[in-house]
Amino acid sequence: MGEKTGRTGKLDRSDKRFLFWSVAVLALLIFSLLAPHLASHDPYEINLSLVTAPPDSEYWMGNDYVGRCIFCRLLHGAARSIFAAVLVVMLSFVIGTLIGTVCGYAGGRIDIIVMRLVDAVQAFPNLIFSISVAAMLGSGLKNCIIAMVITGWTQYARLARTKVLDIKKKTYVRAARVSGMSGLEILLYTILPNSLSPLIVAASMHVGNAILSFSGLSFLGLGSPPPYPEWGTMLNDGRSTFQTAPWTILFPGAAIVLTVMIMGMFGDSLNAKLNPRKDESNEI
Amino acid sequence: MKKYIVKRLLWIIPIMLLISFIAFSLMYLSPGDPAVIYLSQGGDAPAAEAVEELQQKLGLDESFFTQYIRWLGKLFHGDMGTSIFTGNPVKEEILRYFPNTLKLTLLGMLLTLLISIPLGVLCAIQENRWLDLLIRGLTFVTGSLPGFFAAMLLTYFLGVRLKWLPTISSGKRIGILMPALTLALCLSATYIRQIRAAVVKELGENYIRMERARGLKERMVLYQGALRSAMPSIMTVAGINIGNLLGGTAIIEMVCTYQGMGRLAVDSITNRDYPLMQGYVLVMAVVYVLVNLVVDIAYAYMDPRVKQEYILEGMKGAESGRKDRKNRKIRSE
Repeated sequence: MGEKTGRTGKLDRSDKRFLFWSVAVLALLIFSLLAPHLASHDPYEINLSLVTAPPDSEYWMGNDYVGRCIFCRLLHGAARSIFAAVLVVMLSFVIGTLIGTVCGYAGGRIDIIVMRLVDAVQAFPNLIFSISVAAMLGSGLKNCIIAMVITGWTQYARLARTKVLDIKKKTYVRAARVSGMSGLEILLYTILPNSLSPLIVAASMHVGNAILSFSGLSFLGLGSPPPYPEWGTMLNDGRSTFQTAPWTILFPGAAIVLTVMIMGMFGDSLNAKLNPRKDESNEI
Repeated sequence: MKKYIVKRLLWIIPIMLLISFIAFSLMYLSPGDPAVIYLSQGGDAPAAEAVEELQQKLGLDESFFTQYIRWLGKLFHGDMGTSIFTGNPVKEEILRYFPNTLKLTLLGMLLTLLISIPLGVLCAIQENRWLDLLIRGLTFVTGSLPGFFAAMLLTYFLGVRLKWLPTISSGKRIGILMPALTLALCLSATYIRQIRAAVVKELGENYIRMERARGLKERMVLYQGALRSAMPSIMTVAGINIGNLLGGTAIIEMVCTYQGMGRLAVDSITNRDYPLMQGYVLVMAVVYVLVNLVVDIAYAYMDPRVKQEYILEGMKGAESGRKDRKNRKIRSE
């Protein structure tokens, strides 16, 4: 890893960028947890006199097709929309990395079988596979997360395997073996820590996509079930009304875009920090 | 080269088998007995004898493996079962809607390239000046748009407000434009950034300096030199994306009420029409694999280094890493 070479105590540009976006992501996560307390109305309260009412001073973002407060639903839905995706990424990361590392390290028949499975899963367009698994399992938050993990783990498995195959040949791994470490110890203490950085980058890039997919599944009614507020569900609610009342989709949509953007920027900055271009030549 | 193609083609067989296995398992494991679903269409719960009879008729009482083999055998003869909901053969339904999705995908890709190539090149010329920053800033927004949200926004602005396009895509020929523009809006972000990066990189190369020194017009340098060299990588991404798009348009098709495969799939999910869903998943996966195959081979033709890498990766694993880096070293020298 080129991380420690040529470092002085000062923060360079990529560090600053990374720091900024980490703080932004952290703020977003904390905000999504605290947001329900900021809501001024009950997100479930149906008010038929306010059906698709435009934004005003009391209901900042207007009201949806049954007169619920969009602003409050947005705040209440934040945690669900974001943390479902974060959970998907975390589970995919752990499962995929473990399987990939074991495959790369053990090799042989297990490796061949698992990697063919990865090939086959990746042969399905991602969203379609998630949709069909979610449809098969039945709708619901838990099933939706499972469906997304079933498609998500493969990229980590493939990445981890490639990395492990590469590291396995390195001198320091041989040195560890000569010094009498067992296979498991080598795996845990030398190979895994050294193969993590591309995996972490992949995970940080995955979060934004996971939010998009999750909102897509919710939009189709396969994710978060109504009446719980969730951004994708809210967009689906707005489908019948947006032509006359665009605010029913504008705010939940903007919330998704903003969140995905922040997550994307964070991923980019992490990538720039962990894999600067010059690393390519450093590795030789 | 021939060897590579043959190997790549042979590779397809196990992948296809696995795909068919997964597609079959999806349906086999789905909750609800197909016989019961089929018989309860009238609304009443069916009699137990009727269910049993149908199960025997359809072979649903046999083991998983026997059913899979029989299903696979039928598949080879082009029989994909019958849609529970419409009663038509799945093959017919898919053949009816597939051309629409293909048209949409190709038009979407075409529009994407039409938008991204000029903008990407413009960004590269204006590198780090305000226009570049503005366009790149916009790509971060459009790149984060969920497809269905983009579709609704475009429907609102182009359809409801400006009345340029119909808000419902089905029926009219021009209806294809709304979903295609949605695709272009969502996709162009990545392409603009990629084209920009590729052109910026090429503009820094020695041969460009050489051509400039020869006194070539800047526009010629740009289009004949830089963009041309950047094209293979762009086309590869586009090719892979077409595979992705064919499946990824599902939600957009639904929002725009476009009569395509994706809508068919979403409907089949709502109706619990498993044979149709299975047929869809299967067809999409096969198309996806084939598109990727064509792209891989085309790319290998264009770039011999890749060909070598691919072969080595398949054969020796870690070896390829070393070769790859050696190549890179040679290139940088």
